[in-house]
Amino acid sequence: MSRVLGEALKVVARCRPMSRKEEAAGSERILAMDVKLGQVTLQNPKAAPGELAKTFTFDAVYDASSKQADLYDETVRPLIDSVLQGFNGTIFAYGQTGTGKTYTMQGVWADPEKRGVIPNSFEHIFTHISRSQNQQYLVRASYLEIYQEEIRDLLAKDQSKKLEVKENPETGVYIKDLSSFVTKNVKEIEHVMNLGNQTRSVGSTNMNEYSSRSHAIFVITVECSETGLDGEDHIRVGKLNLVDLAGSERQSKQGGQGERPKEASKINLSLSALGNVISALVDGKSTHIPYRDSKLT
Amino acid sequence: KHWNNFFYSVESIPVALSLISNNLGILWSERGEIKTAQTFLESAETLYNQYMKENGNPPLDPNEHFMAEEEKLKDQERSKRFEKAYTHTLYYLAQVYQHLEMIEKAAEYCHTTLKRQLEYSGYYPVEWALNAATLSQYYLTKQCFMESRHCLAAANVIFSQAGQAPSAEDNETEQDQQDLRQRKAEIARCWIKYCLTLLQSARKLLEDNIGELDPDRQSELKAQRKKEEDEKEKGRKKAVLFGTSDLCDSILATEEKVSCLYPLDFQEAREVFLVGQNYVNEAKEFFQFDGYVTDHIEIIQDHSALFKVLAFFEEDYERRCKMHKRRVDMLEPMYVDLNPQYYLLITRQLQFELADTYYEMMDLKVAIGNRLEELDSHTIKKINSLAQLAVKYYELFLDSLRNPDRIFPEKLEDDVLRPAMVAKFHIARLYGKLITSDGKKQLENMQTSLEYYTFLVDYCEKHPEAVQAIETELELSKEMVGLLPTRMERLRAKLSPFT
Repeated sequence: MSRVLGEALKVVARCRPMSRKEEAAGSERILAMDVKLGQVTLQNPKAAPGELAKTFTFDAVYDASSKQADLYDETVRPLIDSVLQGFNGTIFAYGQTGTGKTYTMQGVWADPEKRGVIPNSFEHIFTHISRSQNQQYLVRASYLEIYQEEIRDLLAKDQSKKLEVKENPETGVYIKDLSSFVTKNVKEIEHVMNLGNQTRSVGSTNMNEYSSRSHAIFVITVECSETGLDGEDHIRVGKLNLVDLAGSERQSKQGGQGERPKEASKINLSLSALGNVISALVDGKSTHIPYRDSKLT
Repeated sequence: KHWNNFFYSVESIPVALSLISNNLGILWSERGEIKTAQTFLESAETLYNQYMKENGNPPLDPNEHFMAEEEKLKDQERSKRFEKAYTHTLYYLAQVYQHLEMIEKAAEYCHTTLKRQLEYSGYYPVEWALNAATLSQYYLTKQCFMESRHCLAAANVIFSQAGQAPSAEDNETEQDQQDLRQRKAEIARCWIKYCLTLLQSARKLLEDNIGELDPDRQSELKAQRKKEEDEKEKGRKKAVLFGTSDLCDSILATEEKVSCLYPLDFQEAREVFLVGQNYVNEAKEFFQFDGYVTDHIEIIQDHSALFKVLAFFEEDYERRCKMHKRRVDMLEPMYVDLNPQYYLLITRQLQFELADTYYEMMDLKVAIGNRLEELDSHTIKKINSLAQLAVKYYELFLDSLRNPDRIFPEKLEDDVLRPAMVAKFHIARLYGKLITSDGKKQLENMQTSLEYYTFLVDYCEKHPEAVQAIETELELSKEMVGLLPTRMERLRAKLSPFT
């Protein structure tokens, strides 16, 4: 947790209920959540005798009985409020495939009780706009995907074009030629998202594998123009990034800091990975390694 | 292991064994038994070497046992497959050594793999060039400049092969062209690091305990160089040579443009500097500020570092000062255009480097002034203005550490602790260096100086763990905190003699 120029970082954890399959198999619950303390306790089922359970503390904790609306009101609503004021906000959903990231982020759109973070955010933004009296708002949406170090504009007509990450001294990092669409209401922004989602599923033979390896970022830019006491128009721009990260089970890399030494000892068969092997040898600051950055960072 | 004895006696088996050993090596590595993998791969390696020593003919490829007579491979093809299998053996060994943290051996095997790719296996020029350039960076960390230069020179030569090949498809896109330009610029950046590291390493060897060039060390090293040159170098060189004879010539030609020996005087340093500067210009062409902010700034920081290390070799203070001025001139415009909200770390680096550079320039002007009979007003003005610019940038750096409520942090984070303390220390010293004939002003400067020295001492008392980060500066600060009040008293007394 750190304060960075007025923006705060919050980490919350959510646990899903056991699936029918898990219950039928008589699976043991190894997770306990204390909502009041904001703690998650993990009990290792294969623990050695005397081995203590591990406890982790978060800013907030949501257990299996938590409601979508609760999560939204407590954790997300303040963030959207600040975006409407002209600040930037980002929401990451991180977890292994099957842990319920999509349920939390998307939920069931048609069911008001089961709507996730995204549809609730849309509703929140446009309701606020419709209630505003002295301000003019402009809402734009963009949708991009990162897969195997390449960036795709999910809303572009020409899907063969890959996008580049560039930097501007004044505005920082940006994606060159990323398209954006103006949306005037919830229906329109939903439409944009659906368009992008459709594009996402095209061009992959194994959808599960694909979606569990690609990261998607939906960007909502909210521009607010208000006539001040000085008679001048003041503009505030807030950006909301909704990030759907790839399944974190893929995140363990070679050379790993992890608990998986077996995977780390795997020999790469193809000489095309020679570059990676060589890069890993270089351990020094006064060097330049060509071309090894991950666009995700 | 029993396989070795059985198969070695039969002529056609070596390649089969090579392949089997490779596969076993891979299998065992997947099971996490990396040492076992190592054994199988090393035995494949030994077999290859033994076989090649005792029998020149390429062995039968394992598939050939199942082919009709007409279908069997030509000698050339057999040889090619055999060599390719061996290249893979070496490549897998490189990875095994890496996992076993035998880094030097891993590098050696990577190097040999690259070598063999040129000779036997086929390669993609751009990929090969980038790999060689990356390997050169490994050698830099080991101070092996001859090997590093060789890799870089080879990278240049092989990369140029990519430009020559006529593009198979007509629609070699603009994207491809741009990719090519980018890769070339990346290789240029590796060269910049080579030149910079060579110069900085030479500096470390030559500097005395106050950071100046030690003439005795210089003569020592020059004498040493004459002796060492020949045999040892030739031996090392032969081990790492890339390529067939025509390639060798091109690579040699590129190598001859820059030395791999430690530059020991200004002339030699300048030559290395100029090569580095050329590559800076090449890299900058692609990595322009607007579009590649971070990369561009890194390149300019390297350029500034090149000037800084060249200044070390320059004896004349005025010329040294001019080199530092070049640094300021290239860093300041970038600093002004950067938005600290998005580039906080880089902004802080630039602030600090600008402050340090102005500080260095001021010290030089003082030294130049000390040689004169009397300090003229022009020099005084110059010294004061440089000192104030240094203070300005150190203050900007310290300001960047404040929290959103503009309060200086109670406790400093580890990564900014030393720079922050050094900034405070330098500001204290700078106020002590300002020249003024106005007694009152002088008292004010001393007061400010005292405040900053006191800050350091107080902070270290409150946070004892900080002491080890700034031992020297703390010592001096304590001294000054003791001395300054007395000096100030004396000055006050002098200013008002009629109390």
